[in-house]
Amino acid sequence: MSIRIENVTRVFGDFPAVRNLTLEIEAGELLALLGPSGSGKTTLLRMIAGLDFPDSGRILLDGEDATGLGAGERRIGFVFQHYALFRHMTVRDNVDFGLRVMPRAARPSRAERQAWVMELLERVGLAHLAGRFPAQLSGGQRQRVALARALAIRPRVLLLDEPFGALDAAVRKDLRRWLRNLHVEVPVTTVFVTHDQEEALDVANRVVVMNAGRIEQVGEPREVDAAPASPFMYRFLGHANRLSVEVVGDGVRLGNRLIDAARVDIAPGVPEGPAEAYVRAHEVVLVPPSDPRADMTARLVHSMARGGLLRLEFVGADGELFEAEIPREDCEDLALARDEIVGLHLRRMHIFPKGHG
Amino acid sequence: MHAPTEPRHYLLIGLAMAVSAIFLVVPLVSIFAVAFSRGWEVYLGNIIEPATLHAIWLTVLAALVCVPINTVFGIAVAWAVSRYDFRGRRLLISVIEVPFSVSPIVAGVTYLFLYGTQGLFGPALQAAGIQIMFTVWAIFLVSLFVTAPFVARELIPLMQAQGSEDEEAAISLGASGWQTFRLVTLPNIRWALLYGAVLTNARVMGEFGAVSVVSGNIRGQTNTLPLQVELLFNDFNTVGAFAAASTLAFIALVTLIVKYALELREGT
Repeated sequence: MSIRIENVTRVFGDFPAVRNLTLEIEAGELLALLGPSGSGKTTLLRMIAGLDFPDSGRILLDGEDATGLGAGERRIGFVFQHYALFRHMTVRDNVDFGLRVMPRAARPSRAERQAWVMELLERVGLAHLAGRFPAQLSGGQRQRVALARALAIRPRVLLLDEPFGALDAAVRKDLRRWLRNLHVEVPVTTVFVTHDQEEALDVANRVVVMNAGRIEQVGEPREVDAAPASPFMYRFLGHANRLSVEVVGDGVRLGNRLIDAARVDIAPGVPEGPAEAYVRAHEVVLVPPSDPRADMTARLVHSMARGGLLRLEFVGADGELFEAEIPREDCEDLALARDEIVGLHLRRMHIFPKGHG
Repeated sequence: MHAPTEPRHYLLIGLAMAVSAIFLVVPLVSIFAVAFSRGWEVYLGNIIEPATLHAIWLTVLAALVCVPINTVFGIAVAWAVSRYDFRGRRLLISVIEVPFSVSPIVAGVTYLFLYGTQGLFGPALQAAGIQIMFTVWAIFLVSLFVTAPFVARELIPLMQAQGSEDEEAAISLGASGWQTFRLVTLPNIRWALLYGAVLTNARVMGEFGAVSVVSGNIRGQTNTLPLQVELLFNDFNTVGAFAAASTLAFIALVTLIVKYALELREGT
């Protein structure tokens, strides 16, 4: 089912959680709402579900205005961050709940219900735990029961609020893969909320990044990661360095060095003069300090190996922290030591107006 | 918590036990001791004495009326303050506690002032031919007032801690409001609710001050058990008074046991 969110605003007291937001979600998409806490992503999800209502604007489901419909009338599967399993019911009864409360005329027979519940539990790999109570399950198992329960009503849309938030790293990774596969098997339109960019980029077909109640950037995971569109995006995606520069013609001046247009992306509308440059950690190359390619020098304060990558932290001349991420084999012959002064060559710089965002 | 190890630990424990025994257990035992001091038959005779029997009946009736009403009231209030954020919410939470902070005798006098013949609504009620004061209705009214907070106070913290996610989940799965309440909310709060109802019951049956002001103490008509105990005692019928008191003490013991069992359930 397609979802259209039209100029939706939601204000709590005097805090605008969602501001005049418009978004189109196509049928069958697996979409991530990504953003820091307080960015309005959960509020937006709850409004799609009918658990909260916009102060202005419309929400259309399959082209029909559903703005005023309550959650029970929208046939939407909602998975809560803390699962919200009914603690006094067994796993089986939890999954059956949505079928049990159907009006008698629409309700499948007991045998049909039982078969469908077991099929769902089979699919989430928990058929052997059907008789257990939620308190007897692990976090990952509870999460899957919550999913099965939401799927039981054959929802038109599946909404998940921070689905992996409360789980430990290994379980989280499994469940991510599992959710991707599930979406292939059951191609129902799925929207999930997360504050973890890696999760969003890994699982979703399309990512919507939110900030302060508005959409900051929309795109496929690869696009969003490859071309962040604003200073906020650089800060949010992380591992980016901010530098003060001066725009001169179509290049910039960094300290005493002029960097020409070939290595510089200047955002539209940045005037000549002081500006902010963002350099991502993987766009930094280490060179000897005296090398002509060195755009700046810095002192190494910390290094951490992670898989094939080495994460390095430097302090620049002005005392600011600077991050670099380089393939391990590239620096084996550099023999880095703490407090060593190195030269940094910046492969690419992204320029935004000063003080923006 | 750990096991006592030093002599001073044992001393403190012993002291606590001794004080509890002197102030709590001895009086309780003595009630039954005096009540049975002249044997079973005298005891039974005192209980089935018509005025006492009527007092027992009236006390049970008051409980039958007040416990359901205040249970529903308590759920409604707890629901309102734990699920909705509205102007006056904090004030409402404080107002519910008023019966706890006000002396029951003040409650009785207040109701007398409101509904008595000389009272605020008195003339209007009299004109309509309705008498409230010095009837069982007055007993019900003040009992409702005195026990209003018990259920709400048990439920509010629990419902606030549980949050509304379970109910939202039920609603999103298509359950109606009533189905959500019956299948999700009620099972989530059942032990606290029962606990609140048990406390309400104990207080309705044991209330003296407020009831004594508004009931008029009419023997065999508007005397509840606590009032009957006092009346018998003032008549120098010690054994009769203690026999009546023993029924109240028995109710208290049952309440304690039920409360203890409920707390065990809640803990699991």
